[in-house]
Amino acid sequence: MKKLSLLLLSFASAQINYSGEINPSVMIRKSDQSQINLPFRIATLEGGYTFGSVDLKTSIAIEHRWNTGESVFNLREAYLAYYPDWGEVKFGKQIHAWGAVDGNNPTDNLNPYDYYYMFSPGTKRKLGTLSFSSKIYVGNFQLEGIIIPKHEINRMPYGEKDFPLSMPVKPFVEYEVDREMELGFRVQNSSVLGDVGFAIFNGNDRAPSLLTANVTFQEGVPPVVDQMNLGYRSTTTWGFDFVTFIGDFTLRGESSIFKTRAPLLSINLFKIPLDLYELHQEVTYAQSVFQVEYTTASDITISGQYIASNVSSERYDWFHTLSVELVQLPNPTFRPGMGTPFAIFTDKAIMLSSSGVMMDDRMELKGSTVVNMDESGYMFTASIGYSPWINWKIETAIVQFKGEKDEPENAFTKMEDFSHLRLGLYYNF
Amino acid sequence: MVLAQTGLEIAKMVDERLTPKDMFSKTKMILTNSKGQSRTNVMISKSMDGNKRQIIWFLEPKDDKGVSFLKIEHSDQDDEMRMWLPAFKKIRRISSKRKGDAFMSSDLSYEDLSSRDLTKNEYSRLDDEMIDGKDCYVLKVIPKKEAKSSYSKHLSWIEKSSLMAVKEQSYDKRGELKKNKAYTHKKLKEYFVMERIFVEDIQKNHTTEVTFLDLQVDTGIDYNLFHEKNLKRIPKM
Repeated sequence: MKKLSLLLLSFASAQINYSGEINPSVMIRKSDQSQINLPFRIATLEGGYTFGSVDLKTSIAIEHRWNTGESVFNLREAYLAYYPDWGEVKFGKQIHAWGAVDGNNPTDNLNPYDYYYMFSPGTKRKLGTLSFSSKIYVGNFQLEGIIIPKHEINRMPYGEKDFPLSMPVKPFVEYEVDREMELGFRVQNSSVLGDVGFAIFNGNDRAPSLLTANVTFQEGVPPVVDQMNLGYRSTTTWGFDFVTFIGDFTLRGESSIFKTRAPLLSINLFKIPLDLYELHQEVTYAQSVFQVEYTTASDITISGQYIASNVSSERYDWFHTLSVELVQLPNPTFRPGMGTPFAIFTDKAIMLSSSGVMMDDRMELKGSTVVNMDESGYMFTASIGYSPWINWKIETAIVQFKGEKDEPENAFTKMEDFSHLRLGLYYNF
Repeated sequence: MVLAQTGLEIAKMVDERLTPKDMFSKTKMILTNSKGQSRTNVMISKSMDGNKRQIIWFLEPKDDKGVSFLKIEHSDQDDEMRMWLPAFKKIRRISSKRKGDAFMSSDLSYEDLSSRDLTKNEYSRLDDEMIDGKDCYVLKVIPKKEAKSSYSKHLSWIEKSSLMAVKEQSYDKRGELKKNKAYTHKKLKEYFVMERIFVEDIQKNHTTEVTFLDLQVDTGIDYNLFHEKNLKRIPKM
């Protein structure tokens, strides 16, 4: 009876929180003033129901396309969070965020990315996954463990003629991952000097890569690859991040080492094609981001990031699946299947950004540029947001990519025609 | 004229004034520019130890709803400041060294919101004055170098009966008047507590009015509340 009374009391003291945004926007291509037809989130709603130490949280979005008029309802997050004195426990479809730098986090590999929103900030470009997480606070330490029972992959814009890096069709993925469950662990220490964290994650790539190929060998001619078969590599990451302060400057840094290998393939021994060759691969690569930020006396925040990615070792062995005989076949070009999305653009980049507000937060100015240090090319964005009334905002932005004609494979060259103007209206409630 | 108490002694009296163990309020902050255009922020604030530990949850404007701020002041080390940014799902450690930075674009800086360390300022007493019928001590406060202040001087008018500030003028590093501050207080239980702060930035011709609504004292706030894990949940008012 006493328990029931307490339960009723906690429900009676429950509260509902909600907030949301309605954000119709258009993107106009700079080259020919045509509209870029990609889906965008026209409305989002964050809901929370709190009773005692428990929260039920949801995040929903309506994704809309102007050209087809199609709207898709998307449950981005729905999870229960329990907040005992010692920390927090969460279960459900959720988005996690690890790391100390802004935006490009090599240690943050818990959720797949939604590449339709790769230029959006924060959690907007991530996909929620079913997971269990727990964080324990012990003095100045935080210990966090995450279990993701099912491997989830990036959402890529396949067959989108308006998205330059899009592949024409969704590739067929032949192989399952060898272990669905993914695990992450992070420890953080805080002191007056700053924060430092260490993270380990064991999971599977979010993007597919080559695992086997059907190859025809004929004497006197180079081998002919008839079909490439894709799957997801197993990847383990070890990372650290920090934030500290020197004078008026805030320094943030983050680095991760990724060790990736081909999974154990589940192939029916009685149905192995005679022309099937397996690629055994082990690649170690690292991604690092170092950030310096400074806020001026007039409240303008200036931030610089150095983003670097490099492969420290790679080993490829092709062998015939049935005979286990090693053969000579060309090695594939390595593409990371995990880590900061920026790695698909370049191995080295400098990003400079600044933002400031004026007129009592009515006007917000933002600018950023990413310079490709590895090859040529840059990306430049600038935006002005103006709020004529409280909770309403109009924003216009320009996004410019510049590559090099002599480097057609350079991602910045491919993105040139994606340079656009964006106009959006925001209503927050 | 020989004054009975020195500036430092008065500052000590103010510092040792009976203050609530904790405070809880819904706070309304109205920013008004030179054209008379206003913008309102609403937040919930909980504090302890005379604001040395403070946590603020923003409710309005709506695009800031859920953003929260934690400040822990240390007397012998740099303060700790953190912000919870729901759109990023991250607790962001922020620098506490630039005390002159504006708090949420207002005319109040982080320094204005922090308590003043007696050992890091020099206090001298000027002639007493009457302000709005209130008999006041007048103190000249000069921050020492170790205070890392953005001001060169403050003139503070302290009501004798309540030991609460009723007015303050703050001067920038060039010695020019930067801010006029006016304070209104009321008695709650056995304490005098701030009810309204009005700040005018003379150089920017801009004002901020902070009103503490639904003010509650000694509510039994747990010391452990001032922890980053509590930034994520907006408390019930």
